[in-house]
Amino acid sequence: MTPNGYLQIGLYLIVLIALVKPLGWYMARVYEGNSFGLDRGLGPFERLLYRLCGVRSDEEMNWKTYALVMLLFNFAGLIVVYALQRLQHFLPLNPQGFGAVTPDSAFNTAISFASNTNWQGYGGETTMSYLTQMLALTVQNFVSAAAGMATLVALIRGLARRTAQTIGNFWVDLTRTTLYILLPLAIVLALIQVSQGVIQNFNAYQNVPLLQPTVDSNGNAVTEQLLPMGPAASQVAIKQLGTNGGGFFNANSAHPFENSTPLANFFELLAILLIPAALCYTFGKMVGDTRQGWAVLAVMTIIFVALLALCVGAEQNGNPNFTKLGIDQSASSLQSGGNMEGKEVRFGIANSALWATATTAASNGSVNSMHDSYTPLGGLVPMWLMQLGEVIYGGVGSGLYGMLVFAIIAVFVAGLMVGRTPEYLGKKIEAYEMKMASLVILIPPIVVLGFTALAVVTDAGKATIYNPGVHGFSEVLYAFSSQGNNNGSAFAGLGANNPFYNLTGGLAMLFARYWLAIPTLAIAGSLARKKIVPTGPGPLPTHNALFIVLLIGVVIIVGALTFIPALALGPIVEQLMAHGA
Amino acid sequence: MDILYLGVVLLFLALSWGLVTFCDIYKNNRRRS
Repeated sequence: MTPNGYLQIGLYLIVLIALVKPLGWYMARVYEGNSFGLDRGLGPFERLLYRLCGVRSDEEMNWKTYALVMLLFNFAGLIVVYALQRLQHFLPLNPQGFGAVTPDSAFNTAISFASNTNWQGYGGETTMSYLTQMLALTVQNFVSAAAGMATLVALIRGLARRTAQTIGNFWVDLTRTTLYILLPLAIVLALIQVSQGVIQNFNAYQNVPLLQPTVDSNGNAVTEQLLPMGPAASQVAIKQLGTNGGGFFNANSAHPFENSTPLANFFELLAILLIPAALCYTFGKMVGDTRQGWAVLAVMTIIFVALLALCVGAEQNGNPNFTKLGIDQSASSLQSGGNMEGKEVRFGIANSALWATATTAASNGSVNSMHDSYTPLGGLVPMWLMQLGEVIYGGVGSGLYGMLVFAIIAVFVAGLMVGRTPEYLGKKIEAYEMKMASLVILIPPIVVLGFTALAVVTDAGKATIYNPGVHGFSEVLYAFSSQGNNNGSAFAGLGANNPFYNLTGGLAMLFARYWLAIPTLAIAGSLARKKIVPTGPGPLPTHNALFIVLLIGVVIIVGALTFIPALALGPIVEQLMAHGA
Repeated sequence: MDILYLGVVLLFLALSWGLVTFCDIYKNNRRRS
């Protein structure tokens, strides 16, 4: 890695970690109902919303009601998104006159945005009206993120409360998350993005003269280019903060209207991991021991930095096939060197690989380079980060509740290995919690590997694998790893906008989101009812270095054992072929 | 086609409802026993 790369990545990590405590403290105040400043101004509006919607904010829910309300709310949103896509040609704010989105694509996209995945089988600027982008997709970016954070807060309450029957009120958690956390941050980030040149308008697409006229494949002169327009900045801000990732344009954050300058890129990158990282401190604060939050953050950061180094190193080393062609891949003052295929020159290796690692560590899925063009080892990193269950920072809320489930498994494993009492934060971990935790770690691999197998053995699945052989398999595995873990990024190369992939991908996203949230809430409900046992010598301390190492081991081993065989058929063998041929 | 996809979503919702109910009943049965 180059000194410039070290500097940029180091600066990023320092700023990220420095923001964990203030933002985490603020979010804890929001969820605990303490005064935090903004509530004085927006409190009357919050109460008006409850009155209009008939919500009794002082009434709490048990886990079952909380889960059912969350499910129904998400499915109502899903239906609205589907309807808006199918009816957009009758609706306003459609200056390009786009027709209705096809049923299978609308189905996949509706699930994708409601489930916080933001997998995009369509190209935004050639498919969606401005109204659909705003009212369907951007709104879901807010509320799907808020639903994930609400689920996390319910689990934290389950850990923090003693002999309680309830875990909070879903409507209150949803409203407070959106109003006090996501909206203010999104407004600030959108303004920063606009200042850097990210567009925000309702203009029709514009024809502009080319600075360098060219000729098309038939030899005809091309002197103009059609530039897409639209309200991009407002969607970009929440797509990053809410770890949604769905781009306004097809090229996502590689498009200069969506990510215009290196500074815009830095802020977008920061927004990807900001809330998931800060939630660790919120967790520690809410359970009354911030060391617990720092320990979980340490686990995430150690795994993240190790895999980031692998990805940057692989890309900086370059592509051996380019070396054979005599292409100069060495870093210099004039170029970043390395494998620059599919990467923006303005971002270089460090910012592209950092983004690829961050976007797949979080369940974000936005891209500023094309992951399909990464070296096999460089491409393995984002794929494996998703397959680890999106718990390395992970999605807003979902990442931390996934990691807390791993922590529960870790204390159980410690109990089996060294005879420690399986307790987490003073709550006894018993058979019921372990069975629910097992569901959480088993469902994504079943979904990912099952649908991947189906795609590579059926004619419908094979019909749109355009890259034959090993790389084609990697593309299919990546697609289902992404949808089956609610990430949303794509390896591309695979024709995924057809009924087979839209249907199977849609189902993968549904199971990955809701069938993990349900057992998580069941754990929350079960833990809330339990007493908090005073700390003694029996249980394993969960805030020290030993536990950090144990938790890293559990996450890596579960991820490795489940997916290494499939990875061996894709990127691993591809790496060996690239260097051995 | 719209009805077909709506049916898939409703089926999943019903299955999810079933999972919630199963987790709840399973927990309560264990406590009673």
